[in-house]
Amino acid sequence: MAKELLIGALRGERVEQTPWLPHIGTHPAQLLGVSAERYLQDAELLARGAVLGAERYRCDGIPLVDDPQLEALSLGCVPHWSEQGPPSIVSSPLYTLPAEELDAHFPPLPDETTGRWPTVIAAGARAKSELERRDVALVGLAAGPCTIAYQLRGLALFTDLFRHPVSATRLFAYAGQVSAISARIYAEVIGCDVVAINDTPATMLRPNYFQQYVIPNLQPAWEIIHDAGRTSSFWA
Amino acid sequence: MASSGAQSIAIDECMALDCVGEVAQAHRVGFIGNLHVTSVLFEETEDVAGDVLRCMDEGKRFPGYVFGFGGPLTQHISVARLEEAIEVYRARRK
Repeated sequence: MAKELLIGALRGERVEQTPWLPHIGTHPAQLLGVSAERYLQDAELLARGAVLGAERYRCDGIPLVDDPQLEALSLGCVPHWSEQGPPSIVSSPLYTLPAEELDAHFPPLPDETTGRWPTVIAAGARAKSELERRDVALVGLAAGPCTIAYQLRGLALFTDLFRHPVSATRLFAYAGQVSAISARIYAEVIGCDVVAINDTPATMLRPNYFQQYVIPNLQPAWEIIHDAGRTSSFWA
Repeated sequence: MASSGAQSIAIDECMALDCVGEVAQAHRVGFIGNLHVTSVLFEETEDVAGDVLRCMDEGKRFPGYVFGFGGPLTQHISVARLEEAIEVYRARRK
């Protein structure tokens, strides 16, 4: 019933009771008494954290992992880990390159074997059945195109948008492919009930840039999520 | 965001929830939000119950409303304040 309520509401329906879905961040690390750095890199802790958070806060759905840098780390970006939150990106393969050379240096596209994906997939396998038993939806949270483009390019991204629009267009298209791969892993490999694309940096863009660079590059992820019969959400 | 192709959207705590509800209803998508995360941090003076009631009163007027935060939780919050928020939410859930 709880999961059904949440999915119905997320699809725009009026439901009998208002469901609740927390943007949980790295708070489960606090509940588990471990650092965010350890929590985010340990499948057992991620799974236990999701179940513990769902039980303690009696929510109708809960993210498996809430780390906007997950994709960037699978693309060769260098993290600075934190005790109390997700890591920060301190360098990337594309930071210092001239805009015209970006597309020749795009990292290989990730898959379920790269970066921390094996850890996340293992966590999902453990958490899914536990949450199903409690009628709680499992939520996959993928980084959006602007988040990934920003992590790869840094602040130069925002001048590339108007000084080098061809390079920026290619970078956003690449980033959209990465988002779609994450969506596929959450929807098809892990079997998340809901897959959300989190793209907070996109809110810094002017509306015309949002339309031009972000919206088209979200479509591959939505298509994968909907074809898998899952429910999509856009967080920003 | 509502016309991006997603079935639902989550918005930050700066947005007026009733305005978002109108947009979401027009686009037939769900919407999640937007309790102030600061209301559950430590011993803030912000009234957590009042902000939960704001969300529930504004959000429930529209189909597709899901109660949630206006941003991610940081690791160290006041668990007691969050549990207080959830009690207020559960009393208004129906």
